[in-house]
Amino acid sequence: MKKATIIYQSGEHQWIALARDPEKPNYLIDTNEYLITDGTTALLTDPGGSEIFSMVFTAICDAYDPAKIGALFASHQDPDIISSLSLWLDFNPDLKCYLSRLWSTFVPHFGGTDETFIEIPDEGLNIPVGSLNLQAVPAHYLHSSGNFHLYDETARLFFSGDIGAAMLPPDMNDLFVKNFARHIDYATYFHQRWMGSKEAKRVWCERVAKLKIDMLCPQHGAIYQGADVERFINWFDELPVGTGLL
Amino acid sequence: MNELKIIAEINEEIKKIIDLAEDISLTATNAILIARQAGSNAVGFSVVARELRMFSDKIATAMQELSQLIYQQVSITATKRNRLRSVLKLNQASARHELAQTRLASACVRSQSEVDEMERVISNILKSLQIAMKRTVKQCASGMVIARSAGIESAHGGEMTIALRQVAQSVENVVNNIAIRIKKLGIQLTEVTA
Ligand SMILES: [Fe+2]
Ligand SMILES: [Fe+2]
Repeated sequence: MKKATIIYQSGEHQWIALARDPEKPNYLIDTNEYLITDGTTALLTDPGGSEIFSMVFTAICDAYDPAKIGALFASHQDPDIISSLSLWLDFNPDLKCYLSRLWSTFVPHFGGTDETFIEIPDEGLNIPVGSLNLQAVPAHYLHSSGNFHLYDETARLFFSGDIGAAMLPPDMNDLFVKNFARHIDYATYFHQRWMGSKEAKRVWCERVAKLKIDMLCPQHGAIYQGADVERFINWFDELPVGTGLL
Repeated sequence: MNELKIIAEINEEIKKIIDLAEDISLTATNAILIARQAGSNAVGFSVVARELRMFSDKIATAMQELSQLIYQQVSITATKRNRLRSVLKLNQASARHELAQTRLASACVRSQSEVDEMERVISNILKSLQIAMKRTVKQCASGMVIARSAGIESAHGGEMTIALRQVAQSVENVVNNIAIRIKKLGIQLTEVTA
């Protein structure tokens, strides 16, 4: 069973992390979903694959009424990100899905119509969630060519999609990174192989280093907090990736 | 057995039958030419050969109709499978949590009724398929009669008798082959219906 954990709370403003699913079969990659709410409505980041829909949905039910979710945010077009879309729309046909303009004709293969998608232009977008104002931050080519992260300036939390992802062994199942040096070993190969461009990486590191971030929340693996956020950005900045390794 | 797999097999079978019908058409055209050389004695044979050509056209048309029905069947079956998977996933989520059950109740009902509707459409297509099949079986039986008449008429072919007999024999073989395949097709179709 996936577990819902409140990782940020200030009044009604919450970030709820849905992570770690020991029941999930090994052939499916484990994913983290984050529910961001102002108390009246919520946005769900990278809702996940159709195979894990029932786990995600029920984990949300433990912590929050899914009927209040108004929008989904898809960092990019991968199946582990958004192939559950048609099930979410079965649940609520009025749900909106924020997504890079690059993928608005691709992702409907997983479900949805013209009405469903709100295209994010390359430069990013302000996304209102009730009284909250989230920012879609460009992260193109990391790894997808139309890729966005989500910044909550008030909470100082940053959803970083596949960046920061780590394929952790079963005994390392903490929600937060405990030992950066040990943790990062499980992130290295993924970043080198999945992230395509050194130039894109440089731009992203510069952009994100300027933001005030208390927690960097990836779609796979543990959450970086405090000093580990900067540690991670520096590590990533130095890492040879993608075409640089050919 | 898997519906889509059977349908793919049926489609292959239909293609083979259309090829065979074309063979008959060619052979019959050829027979008409031979019969012309054989002169007035082989007039009967020419008439039969023309009928054979008509028979092969009818079979080809019937197969195209079947093929279209089967195409509809494939597309709706694929959609149904997809929806069925959603029904399953929604029910799974409902079973795990009380709030999930409440929140997903109408989605479960809606998607299930979509599946039910598709099943109704599928069963209607299957009925049309069976009717079309029965008609084809009858056409095939009359094709056999025509093929046998060709054999009888070949006896009047004068010096072309041997050539005509050969033609008649090969037509009979092909029609026979079609008949066997259509019978097989009928069985496959009942498998989909079951
Ligand atoms: Fe991805
Ligand atoms: Fe991913």
